[in-house]
Amino acid sequence: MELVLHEEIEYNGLFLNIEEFTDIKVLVHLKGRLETANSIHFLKFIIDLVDFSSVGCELILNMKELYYVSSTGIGAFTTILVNCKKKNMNLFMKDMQPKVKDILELLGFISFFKLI
Amino acid sequence: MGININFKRFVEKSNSMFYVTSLKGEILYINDFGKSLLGITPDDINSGINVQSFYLFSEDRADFIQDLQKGEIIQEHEIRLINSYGKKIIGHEQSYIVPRSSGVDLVYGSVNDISDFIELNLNTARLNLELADINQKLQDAYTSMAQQEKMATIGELAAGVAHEINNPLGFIISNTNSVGRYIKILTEIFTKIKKTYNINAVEGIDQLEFILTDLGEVLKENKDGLRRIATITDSLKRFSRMGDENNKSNFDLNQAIKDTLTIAKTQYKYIADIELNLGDIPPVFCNGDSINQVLLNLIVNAAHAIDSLDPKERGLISIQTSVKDADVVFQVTDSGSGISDSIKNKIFDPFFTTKEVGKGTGLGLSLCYDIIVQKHGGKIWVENSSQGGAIFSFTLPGGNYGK
Repeated sequence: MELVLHEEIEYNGLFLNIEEFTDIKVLVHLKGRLETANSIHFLKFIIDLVDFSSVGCELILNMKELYYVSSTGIGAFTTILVNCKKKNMNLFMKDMQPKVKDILELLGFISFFKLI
Repeated sequence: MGININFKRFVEKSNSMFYVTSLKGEILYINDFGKSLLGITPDDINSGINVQSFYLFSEDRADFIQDLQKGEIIQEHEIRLINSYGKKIIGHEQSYIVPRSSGVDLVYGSVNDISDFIELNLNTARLNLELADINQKLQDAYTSMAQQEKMATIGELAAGVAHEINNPLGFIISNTNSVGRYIKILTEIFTKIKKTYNINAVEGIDQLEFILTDLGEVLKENKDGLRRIATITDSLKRFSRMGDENNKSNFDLNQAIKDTLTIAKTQYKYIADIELNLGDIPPVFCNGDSINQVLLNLIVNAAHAIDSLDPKERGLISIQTSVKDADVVFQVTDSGSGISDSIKNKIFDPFFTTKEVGKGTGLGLSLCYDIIVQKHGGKIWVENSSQGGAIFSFTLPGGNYGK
Protein backbone atom coordinates (compact mmCIF):
# COMPACT_ATOMS: atom_id res chain seq x y z
CA MET A 1 0.00 0.00 0.00
CA GLU A 2 1.25 3.42 -0.91
CA LEU A 3 0.33 6.15 1.52
CA VAL A 4 -1.01 9.17 -0.29
CA LEU A 5 -2.31 12.08 1.73
CA HIS A 6 -5.25 14.26 0.66
CA GLU A 7 -6.22 12.12 -2.29
CA GLU A 8 -9.75 10.74 -2.45
CA ILE A 9 -10.01 7.06 -3.34
CA GLU A 10 -13.37 5.56 -4.37
CA TYR A 11 -14.60 2.03 -3.76
CA ASN A 12 -18.13 1.56 -5.20
CA GLY A 13 -19.66 4.67 -3.69
CA LEU A 14 -17.38 4.92 -0.66
CA PHE A 15 -14.79 7.70 -0.75
CA LEU A 16 -11.73 7.51 1.52
CA ASN A 17 -9.21 10.25 2.12
CA ILE A 18 -6.20 10.14 4.46
CA GLU A 19 -6.19 13.67 5.86
CA GLU A 20 -3.42 13.26 8.43
CA PHE A 21 -0.74 10.67 9.13
CA THR A 22 1.71 11.22 11.98
CA ASP A 23 3.29 9.09 14.69
CA ILE A 24 0.52 9.98 17.10
CA LYS A 25 -2.52 10.51 14.89
CA VAL A 26 -4.02 9.05 11.72
CA LEU A 27 -7.14 10.74 10.40
CA VAL A 28 -9.24 9.25 7.59
CA HIS A 29 -12.30 10.90 6.06
CA LEU A 30 -15.14 8.58 5.01
CA LYS A 31 -17.78 9.74 2.56
CA GLY A 32 -20.79 8.01 0.98
CA ARG A 33 -22.06 4.54 1.76
CA LEU A 34 -20.31 1.62 3.43
CA GLU A 35 -22.03 -1.58 2.32
CA THR A 36 -21.54 -5.08 0.97
CA ALA A 37 -20.13 -3.84 -2.32
CA ASN A 38 -17.23 -1.94 -0.72
CA SER A 39 -16.78 -3.23 2.87
CA ILE A 40 -13.98 -5.61 1.94
CA HIS A 41 -12.06 -2.82 0.14
CA PHE A 42 -12.62 -0.48 3.07
CA LEU A 43 -11.40 -3.12 5.51
CA LYS A 44 -8.23 -3.80 3.53
CA PHE A 45 -7.53 -0.08 3.15
CA ILE A 46 -7.80 0.60 6.87
CA ILE A 47 -6.03 -2.58 8.01
CA ASP A 48 -3.08 -1.67 5.76
CA LEU A 49 -3.15 1.79 7.32
CA VAL A 50 -3.13 0.28 10.83
CA ASP A 51 -0.13 -1.85 9.85
CA PHE A 52 1.71 1.30 8.73
CA SER A 53 0.78 3.27 11.85
CA SER A 54 2.92 3.67 14.96
CA VAL A 55 2.13 1.59 18.02
CA GLY A 56 -0.08 3.50 20.45
CA CYS A 57 -1.24 6.15 18.01
CA GLU A 58 -4.82 7.32 17.46
CA LEU A 59 -6.86 6.26 14.46
CA ILE A 60 -9.71 8.70 13.86
CA LEU A 61 -12.41 7.91 11.31
CA ASN A 62 -14.19 11.10 10.35
CA MET A 63 -17.72 9.89 9.56
CA LYS A 64 -19.39 13.25 9.04
CA GLU A 65 -20.21 12.39 5.43
CA LEU A 66 -20.82 8.67 5.83
CA TYR A 67 -24.57 8.32 5.44
CA TYR A 68 -25.12 4.58 5.37
CA VAL A 69 -23.46 1.59 7.02
CA SER A 70 -24.65 -1.97 6.38
CA SER A 71 -24.08 -4.94 8.66
CA THR A 72 -20.98 -5.88 6.65
CA GLY A 73 -19.70 -2.36 7.33
CA ILE A 74 -20.20 -2.90 11.04
CA GLY A 75 -18.34 -6.20 10.73
CA ALA A 76 -15.49 -4.27 9.09
CA PHE A 77 -15.45 -1.74 11.95
CA THR A 78 -15.20 -4.52 14.53
CA THR A 79 -12.30 -6.18 12.67
CA ILE A 80 -10.54 -2.80 12.51
CA LEU A 81 -11.09 -2.30 16.24
CA VAL A 82 -9.61 -5.72 17.05
CA ASN A 83 -6.56 -4.90 14.90
CA CYS A 84 -6.18 -1.51 16.60
CA LYS A 85 -6.28 -3.13 20.03
CA LYS A 86 -3.50 -5.50 18.97
CA LYS A 87 -1.32 -2.46 18.22
CA ASN A 88 -2.44 -0.60 21.35
CA MET A 89 -4.04 2.00 19.09
CA ASN A 90 -7.13 3.97 20.05
CA LEU A 91 -9.92 4.01 17.46
CA PHE A 92 -12.18 7.05 17.49
CA MET A 93 -15.26 7.65 15.35
CA LYS A 94 -15.74 11.33 14.72
CA ASP A 95 -18.99 13.18 13.92
CA MET A 96 -21.02 10.04 13.29
CA GLN A 97 -24.35 10.59 11.50
CA PRO A 98 -27.38 9.88 13.75
CA LYS A 99 -28.65 7.23 11.32
CA VAL A 100 -25.35 5.35 11.45
CA LYS A 101 -25.32 5.67 15.22
CA ASP A 102 -28.86 4.24 15.31
CA ILE A 103 -27.84 1.11 13.44
CA LEU A 104 -24.80 0.59 15.69
CA GLU A 105 -27.09 0.94 18.68
CA LEU A 106 -29.69 -1.35 17.18
CA LEU A 107 -27.17 -4.13 16.65
CA GLY A 108 -25.61 -3.64 20.08
CA PHE A 109 -22.20 -2.40 18.97
CA ILE A 110 -22.21 1.21 20.04
CA SER A 111 -20.55 0.54 23.42
CA PHE A 112 -17.46 -0.93 21.76
CA PHE A 113 -16.60 2.28 19.93
CA LYS A 114 -15.35 5.63 21.18
CA LEU A 115 -17.36 8.45 19.62
CA ILE A 116 -15.99 11.97 19.49
CA MET B 1 -48.26 -24.48 -18.91
CA GLY B 2 -46.47 -21.28 -19.95
CA ILE B 3 -43.34 -19.80 -18.42
CA ASN B 4 -45.33 -16.92 -16.92
CA ILE B 5 -47.62 -19.26 -15.02
CA ASN B 6 -44.69 -21.31 -13.72
CA PHE B 7 -42.82 -18.19 -12.76
CA LYS B 8 -45.91 -16.82 -10.96
CA ARG B 9 -46.14 -20.10 -9.02
CA PHE B 10 -42.43 -19.84 -8.13
CA VAL B 11 -42.92 -16.30 -6.88
CA GLU B 12 -46.00 -17.28 -4.88
CA LYS B 13 -44.26 -20.20 -3.17
CA SER B 14 -40.80 -18.67 -2.83
CA ASN B 15 -39.06 -18.26 0.54
CA SER B 16 -38.12 -14.73 -0.47
CA MET B 17 -40.41 -11.74 -0.34
CA PHE B 18 -41.53 -10.57 -3.78
CA TYR B 19 -43.40 -7.31 -4.13
CA VAL B 20 -44.65 -4.62 -6.46
CA THR B 21 -45.17 -1.11 -5.15
CA SER B 22 -45.78 2.32 -6.52
CA LEU B 23 -42.97 4.85 -6.22
CA LYS B 24 -44.91 6.32 -3.29
CA GLY B 25 -44.76 2.92 -1.59
CA GLU B 26 -48.35 1.62 -1.89
CA ILE B 27 -48.17 -2.19 -1.91
CA LEU B 28 -49.81 -3.46 -5.13
CA TYR B 29 -48.64 -7.04 -4.82
CA ILE B 30 -46.81 -9.05 -2.18
CA ASN B 31 -46.37 -12.84 -2.06
CA ASP B 32 -47.33 -15.06 0.88
CA PHE B 33 -43.80 -15.11 2.32
CA GLY B 34 -43.74 -11.31 2.21
CA LYS B 35 -47.09 -11.07 3.98
CA SER B 36 -45.86 -13.45 6.66
CA LEU B 37 -42.50 -11.66 7.01
CA LEU B 38 -44.08 -8.22 7.39
CA GLY B 39 -47.11 -9.52 9.31
CA ILE B 40 -49.74 -8.05 6.98
CA THR B 41 -53.20 -9.31 6.06
CA PRO B 42 -55.16 -9.09 2.78
CA ASP B 43 -57.23 -6.38 4.48
CA ASP B 44 -54.08 -4.35 5.06
CA ILE B 45 -53.33 -4.54 1.35
CA ASN B 46 -56.90 -3.63 0.40
CA SER B 47 -56.72 -0.63 2.69
CA GLY B 48 -53.64 0.60 0.80
CA ILE B 49 -50.92 -0.14 3.35
CA ASN B 50 -47.63 1.59 2.50
CA VAL B 51 -44.28 -0.16 2.53
CA GLN B 52 -42.79 2.97 4.09
CA SER B 53 -44.37 1.99 7.42
CA PHE B 54 -42.11 -1.09 7.59
CA TYR B 55 -38.84 0.78 7.24
CA LEU B 56 -36.88 0.88 10.48
CA PHE B 57 -35.28 4.14 9.40
CA SER B 58 -37.87 6.15 7.48
CA GLU B 59 -35.33 8.00 5.30
CA ASP B 60 -33.92 4.71 3.95
CA ARG B 61 -36.87 4.44 1.53
CA ALA B 62 -36.32 7.86 0.00
CA ASP B 63 -32.56 7.17 -0.38
CA PHE B 64 -33.38 3.86 -2.01
CA ILE B 65 -35.84 5.33 -4.51
CA GLN B 66 -33.29 8.02 -5.33
CA ASP B 67 -30.72 5.30 -6.11
CA LEU B 68 -33.26 3.42 -8.24
CA GLN B 69 -34.01 6.52 -10.24
CA LYS B 70 -30.34 6.95 -11.09
CA GLY B 71 -31.16 4.58 -13.94
CA GLU B 72 -29.30 1.40 -13.05
CA ILE B 73 -31.42 -1.62 -13.91
CA ILE B 74 -31.19 -3.48 -10.63
CA GLN B 75 -30.21 -2.03 -7.30
CA GLU B 76 -29.29 -4.29 -4.44
CA HIS B 77 -28.68 -3.31 -0.90
CA GLU B 78 -29.28 -4.17 2.73
CA ILE B 79 -32.71 -3.17 4.00
CA ARG B 80 -33.69 -2.70 7.65
CA LEU B 81 -37.38 -3.37 8.36
CA ILE B 82 -39.67 -3.72 11.34
CA ASN B 83 -42.78 -5.88 10.92
CA SER B 84 -46.27 -5.49 12.41
CA TYR B 85 -45.24 -7.52 15.47
CA GLY B 86 -42.25 -5.28 16.15
CA LYS B 87 -39.66 -7.79 14.97
CA LYS B 88 -36.63 -6.17 13.37
CA ILE B 89 -35.58 -7.68 10.06
CA ILE B 90 -32.42 -7.25 8.03
CA GLY B 91 -32.92 -8.22 4.41
CA HIS B 92 -31.01 -8.29 1.18
CA GLU B 93 -33.10 -6.44 -1.41
CA GLN B 94 -32.92 -6.41 -5.21
CA SER B 95 -35.24 -4.03 -7.03
CA TYR B 96 -35.78 -2.20 -10.25
CA ILE B 97 -38.14 0.40 -11.62
CA VAL B 98 -40.56 -0.45 -14.39
CA PRO B 99 -41.50 2.71 -16.27
CA ARG B 100 -45.09 2.80 -17.50
CA SER B 101 -46.70 4.81 -20.23
CA SER B 102 -49.23 6.14 -17.72
CA GLY B 103 -46.32 7.85 -16.00
CA VAL B 104 -46.95 5.92 -12.75
CA ASP B 105 -43.75 3.91 -12.45
CA LEU B 106 -43.70 0.71 -10.43
CA VAL B 107 -41.01 -0.82 -8.22
CA TYR B 108 -40.48 -4.56 -8.57
CA GLY B 109 -38.35 -6.23 -5.95
CA SER B 110 -37.40 -9.18 -3.82
CA VAL B 111 -36.11 -9.35 -0.25
CA ASN B 112 -34.25 -12.25 1.36
CA ASP B 113 -34.44 -12.33 5.12
CA ILE B 114 -30.79 -12.50 6.25
CA SER B 115 -31.42 -11.51 9.88
CA ASP B 116 -30.22 -14.84 11.32
CA PHE B 117 -27.12 -14.85 9.12
CA ILE B 118 -26.28 -11.28 10.09
CA GLU B 119 -26.94 -11.96 13.76
CA LEU B 120 -24.61 -14.95 13.64
CA ASN B 121 -21.86 -12.96 11.93
CA LEU B 122 -22.25 -10.01 14.24
CA ASN B 123 -22.24 -12.30 17.27
CA THR B 124 -18.90 -13.66 16.10
CA ALA B 125 -17.64 -10.09 15.64
CA ARG B 126 -18.92 -9.19 19.13
CA LEU B 127 -17.18 -12.22 20.64
CA ASN B 128 -13.95 -11.29 18.83
CA LEU B 129 -14.13 -7.82 20.32
CA GLU B 130 -14.78 -9.16 23.80
CA LEU B 131 -11.96 -11.64 23.38
CA ALA B 132 -9.59 -8.85 22.29
CA ASP B 133 -10.59 -6.87 25.42
CA ILE B 134 -10.04 -9.86 27.67
CA ASN B 135 -6.68 -10.59 26.04
CA GLN B 136 -5.58 -7.01 26.55
CA LYS B 137 -6.64 -7.02 30.21
CA LEU B 138 -4.86 -10.33 30.74
CA GLN B 139 -1.70 -8.97 29.14
CA ASP B 140 -1.92 -5.78 31.24
CA ALA B 141 -2.41 -7.78 34.41
CA TYR B 142 0.45 -10.13 33.59
CA THR B 143 2.87 -7.31 32.84
CA SER B 144 1.75 -5.33 35.86
CA MET B 145 2.30 -8.39 38.07
CA ALA B 146 5.69 -9.00 36.49
CA GLN B 147 6.63 -5.36 37.08
CA GLN B 148 5.45 -5.45 40.69
CA GLU B 149 7.37 -8.68 41.20
CA LYS B 150 10.46 -7.02 39.73
CA MET B 151 10.03 -3.98 41.97
CA ALA B 152 9.58 -6.24 44.99
CA THR B 153 12.76 -8.15 44.12
CA ILE B 154 14.70 -4.94 43.63
CA GLY B 155 13.30 -3.66 46.91
CA GLU B 156 14.41 -6.80 48.76
CA LEU B 157 17.80 -6.58 47.13
CA ALA B 158 18.16 -2.93 48.06
CA ALA B 159 17.17 -3.66 51.65
CA GLY B 160 19.71 -6.51 51.78
CA VAL B 161 22.50 -4.38 50.31
CA ALA B 162 21.68 -1.54 52.69
CA HIS B 163 21.87 -3.94 55.63
CA GLU B 164 25.19 -5.39 54.46
CA ILE B 165 26.65 -1.92 53.98
CA ASN B 166 25.36 -0.71 57.33
CA ASN B 167 27.33 -3.25 59.39
CA PRO B 168 30.85 -2.34 58.13
CA LEU B 169 29.72 1.29 57.93
CA GLY B 170 29.06 1.20 61.68
CA PHE B 171 32.62 0.21 62.63
CA ILE B 172 34.16 2.46 59.94
CA ILE B 173 32.35 5.46 61.44
CA SER B 174 33.33 4.36 64.95
CA ASN B 175 36.98 3.84 63.95
CA THR B 176 37.04 7.14 62.07
CA ASN B 177 35.85 8.92 65.21
CA SER B 178 38.62 7.16 67.15
CA VAL B 179 41.21 8.22 64.55
CA GLY B 180 39.91 11.77 64.95
CA ARG B 181 40.45 11.61 68.69
CA TYR B 182 43.94 10.09 68.19
CA ILE B 183 44.91 12.87 65.79
CA LYS B 184 43.72 15.44 68.30
CA ILE B 185 45.88 13.80 71.01
CA LEU B 186 48.87 13.52 68.67
CA THR B 187 48.49 17.18 67.71
CA GLU B 188 48.38 18.25 71.39
CA ILE B 189 51.49 16.16 72.17
CA PHE B 190 53.29 17.52 69.13
CA THR B 191 52.46 21.09 70.20
CA LYS B 192 53.87 20.41 73.71
CA ILE B 193 57.05 18.82 72.28
CA LYS B 194 57.50 21.76 69.97
CA LYS B 195 57.16 24.19 72.86
CA THR B 196 59.49 22.21 75.17
CA TYR B 197 62.24 21.18 72.75
CA ASN B 198 63.86 22.93 69.88
CA ILE B 199 62.96 20.51 67.13
CA ASN B 200 62.77 22.96 64.28
CA ALA B 201 66.10 21.63 63.00
CA VAL B 202 64.79 18.07 62.76
CA GLU B 203 64.48 17.07 59.14
CA GLY B 204 60.90 16.80 57.96
CA ILE B 205 59.37 18.57 60.98
CA ASP B 206 57.51 21.03 58.71
CA GLN B 207 56.03 18.12 56.81
CA LEU B 208 54.89 16.48 60.06
CA GLU B 209 53.20 19.69 61.13
CA PHE B 210 51.42 19.92 57.78
CA ILE B 211 50.35 16.26 57.96
CA LEU B 212 48.82 16.70 61.38
CA THR B 213 46.87 19.75 60.22
CA ASP B 214 45.80 18.16 56.95
CA LEU B 215 44.80 14.87 58.62
CA GLY B 216 42.08 16.80 60.42
CA GLU B 217 40.76 18.13 57.12
CA VAL B 218 40.97 14.72 55.41
CA LEU B 219 39.15 13.14 58.29
CA LYS B 220 36.45 15.82 58.13
CA GLU B 221 35.88 15.00 54.45
CA ASN B 222 35.81 11.29 55.25
CA LYS B 223 33.20 11.86 57.93
CA ASP B 224 31.11 13.87 55.49
CA GLY B 225 31.32 11.04 52.95
CA LEU B 226 30.41 8.46 55.55
CA ARG B 227 27.45 10.56 56.67
CA ARG B 228 26.22 10.65 53.07
CA ILE B 229 26.57 6.87 52.75
CA ALA B 230 24.61 6.45 55.98
CA THR B 231 21.85 8.73 54.64
CA ILE B 232 21.62 6.68 51.44
CA THR B 233 21.47 3.33 53.25
CA ASP B 234 18.85 4.69 55.67
CA SER B 235 16.80 5.94 52.72
CA LEU B 236 17.16 2.62 50.91
CA LYS B 237 16.04 0.73 53.98
CA ARG B 238 13.04 3.00 54.50
CA PHE B 239 12.19 2.98 50.81
CA SER B 240 12.36 -0.73 50.24
CA ARG B 241 10.73 -1.91 53.43
CA MET B 242 8.55 -4.69 52.05
CA GLY B 243 5.01 -5.15 53.18
CA ASP B 244 1.53 -6.23 52.33
CA GLU B 245 -0.27 -3.90 49.88
CA ASN B 246 -3.05 -3.53 52.43
CA ASN B 247 -0.59 -2.88 55.22
CA LYS B 248 -1.24 0.82 55.79
CA SER B 249 0.10 3.04 58.50
CA ASN B 250 0.75 6.70 59.20
CA PHE B 251 3.34 7.88 56.70
CA ASP B 252 5.51 10.98 56.60
CA LEU B 253 5.20 12.07 52.96
CA ASN B 254 7.70 14.93 53.31
CA GLN B 255 10.39 12.59 54.70
CA ALA B 256 9.60 10.08 51.92
CA ILE B 257 10.17 12.80 49.31
CA LYS B 258 13.59 13.58 50.81
CA ASP B 259 14.47 9.86 50.85
CA THR B 260 13.36 9.42 47.25
CA LEU B 261 15.39 12.43 46.15
CA THR B 262 18.45 10.85 47.75
CA ILE B 263 17.86 7.56 45.91
CA ALA B 264 17.07 9.20 42.58
CA LYS B 265 19.94 11.69 42.75
CA THR B 266 21.88 10.10 39.90
CA GLN B 267 18.89 10.63 37.66
CA TYR B 268 18.76 14.41 38.07
CA LYS B 269 21.93 15.80 39.62
CA TYR B 270 23.66 16.55 36.28
CA ILE B 271 20.61 17.98 34.55
CA ALA B 272 18.34 19.68 37.06
CA ASP B 273 18.17 21.56 40.33
CA ILE B 274 15.61 20.67 42.95
CA GLU B 275 13.31 23.20 44.57
CA LEU B 276 11.50 21.89 47.63
CA ASN B 277 8.47 23.58 49.08
CA LEU B 278 7.19 21.07 51.58
CA GLY B 279 4.18 22.24 53.53
CA ASP B 280 3.09 21.49 57.05
CA ILE B 281 1.13 18.33 56.28
CA PRO B 282 -0.25 15.66 58.57
CA PRO B 283 0.83 12.02 58.31
CA VAL B 284 -0.95 10.13 55.57
CA PHE B 285 -2.56 6.77 56.29
CA CYS B 286 -1.28 4.67 53.39
CA ASN B 287 1.01 1.91 52.22
CA GLY B 288 4.40 3.61 52.39
CA ASP B 289 6.17 1.23 49.98
CA SER B 290 3.63 1.90 47.25
CA ILE B 291 3.73 5.67 47.75
CA ASN B 292 7.55 5.57 47.63
CA GLN B 293 7.25 3.87 44.26
CA VAL B 294 4.89 6.61 43.03
CA LEU B 295 7.27 9.36 44.22
CA LEU B 296 10.23 7.67 42.51
CA ASN B 297 8.34 7.24 39.24
CA LEU B 298 7.16 10.86 39.16
CA ILE B 299 10.53 12.36 40.09
CA VAL B 300 12.43 10.17 37.58
CA ASN B 301 9.82 11.07 34.94
CA ALA B 302 10.39 14.78 35.63
CA ALA B 303 14.15 14.25 35.20
CA HIS B 304 13.62 12.39 31.94
CA ALA B 305 11.37 15.19 30.64
CA ILE B 306 14.19 17.69 31.23
CA ASP B 307 16.81 15.32 29.82
CA SER B 308 14.83 14.96 26.58
CA LEU B 309 15.00 18.70 25.83
CA ASP B 310 16.86 19.63 22.69
CA PRO B 311 19.07 21.64 22.97
CA LYS B 312 20.04 20.43 26.43
CA GLU B 313 19.75 22.94 29.23
CA ARG B 314 19.88 22.60 33.00
CA GLY B 315 16.34 22.42 34.30
CA LEU B 316 14.37 22.71 37.50
CA ILE B 317 12.24 20.17 39.33
CA SER B 318 9.92 21.83 41.86
CA ILE B 319 8.22 19.69 44.45
CA GLN B 320 5.60 20.89 46.84
CA THR B 321 3.21 19.43 49.34
CA SER B 322 0.15 21.02 50.89
CA VAL B 323 -3.25 20.33 52.37
CA LYS B 324 -6.46 21.05 50.49
CA ASP B 325 -9.94 20.17 51.69
CA ALA B 326 -8.45 17.73 54.21
CA ASP B 327 -6.56 15.93 51.43
CA VAL B 328 -2.79 15.90 51.24
CA VAL B 329 -1.61 17.20 47.86
CA PHE B 330 1.70 16.35 46.17
CA GLN B 331 2.87 18.23 43.10
CA VAL B 332 6.01 17.91 40.98
CA THR B 333 6.66 20.43 38.23
CA ASP B 334 9.39 20.01 35.64
CA SER B 335 10.84 22.46 33.15
CA GLY B 336 10.49 20.05 30.24
CA SER B 337 8.37 20.59 27.15
CA GLY B 338 5.02 19.59 28.71
CA ILE B 339 2.38 17.05 27.67
CA SER B 340 0.48 17.52 24.41
CA ASP B 341 -3.32 17.56 24.61
CA SER B 342 -3.57 14.56 22.29
CA ILE B 343 -1.89 12.22 24.78
CA LYS B 344 -3.14 13.65 28.08
CA ASN B 345 -6.08 11.27 28.19
CA LYS B 346 -3.98 8.16 27.76
CA ILE B 347 -0.84 9.00 29.65
CA PHE B 348 -1.93 6.78 32.55
CA ASP B 349 -2.84 3.89 30.22
CA PRO B 350 -0.68 0.78 30.56
CA PHE B 351 2.07 0.51 27.93
CA PHE B 352 1.68 4.09 26.80
CA THR B 353 5.06 5.74 26.49
CA THR B 354 6.57 8.57 24.52
CA LYS B 355 10.08 7.42 25.32
CA GLU B 356 12.30 5.71 22.78
CA VAL B 357 11.89 1.96 22.34
CA GLY B 358 13.65 0.21 25.19
CA LYS B 359 13.77 3.31 27.41
CA GLY B 360 10.35 3.07 28.99
CA THR B 361 7.99 0.23 29.70
CA GLY B 362 4.94 2.50 29.61
CA LEU B 363 3.96 1.09 32.98
CA GLY B 364 5.32 3.65 35.43
CA LEU B 365 2.41 6.07 35.30
CA SER B 366 -0.19 3.33 35.05
CA LEU B 367 1.23 1.83 38.24
CA CYS B 368 1.08 5.28 39.85
CA TYR B 369 -2.58 5.52 38.79
CA ASP B 370 -3.29 2.06 40.20
CA ILE B 371 -1.59 2.84 43.52
CA ILE B 372 -3.10 6.31 44.03
CA VAL B 373 -6.60 5.79 42.61
CA GLN B 374 -7.35 2.08 43.03
CA LYS B 375 -5.39 1.30 46.18
CA HIS B 376 -5.77 4.56 48.09
CA GLY B 377 -8.90 6.27 46.74
CA GLY B 378 -6.92 9.35 45.75
CA LYS B 379 -6.66 11.26 42.50
CA ILE B 380 -3.79 11.69 40.05
CA TRP B 381 -3.65 14.02 37.08
CA VAL B 382 -1.37 15.90 34.75
CA GLU B 383 -1.50 19.45 33.43
CA ASN B 384 0.91 21.86 31.83
CA SER B 385 2.49 24.73 33.72
CA SER B 386 2.38 28.27 32.38
CA GLN B 387 6.15 27.96 31.81
CA GLY B 388 5.58 25.04 29.47
CA GLY B 389 6.60 22.03 31.57
CA ALA B 390 4.39 19.32 33.03
CA ILE B 391 2.83 19.25 36.49
CA PHE B 392 1.98 15.84 37.89
CA SER B 393 -0.20 15.98 41.00
CA PHE B 394 -1.81 13.49 43.29
CA THR B 395 -3.96 13.68 46.36
CA LEU B 396 -4.31 11.19 49.16
CA PRO B 397 -7.39 11.29 51.31
CA GLY B 398 -6.71 12.82 54.70
CA GLY B 399 -8.75 12.80 57.84
CA ASN B 400 -8.31 9.11 58.60
CA TYR B 401 -4.97 9.22 60.30
CA GLY B 402 -4.13 6.22 62.36
CA LYS B 403 -7.17 4.23 61.28
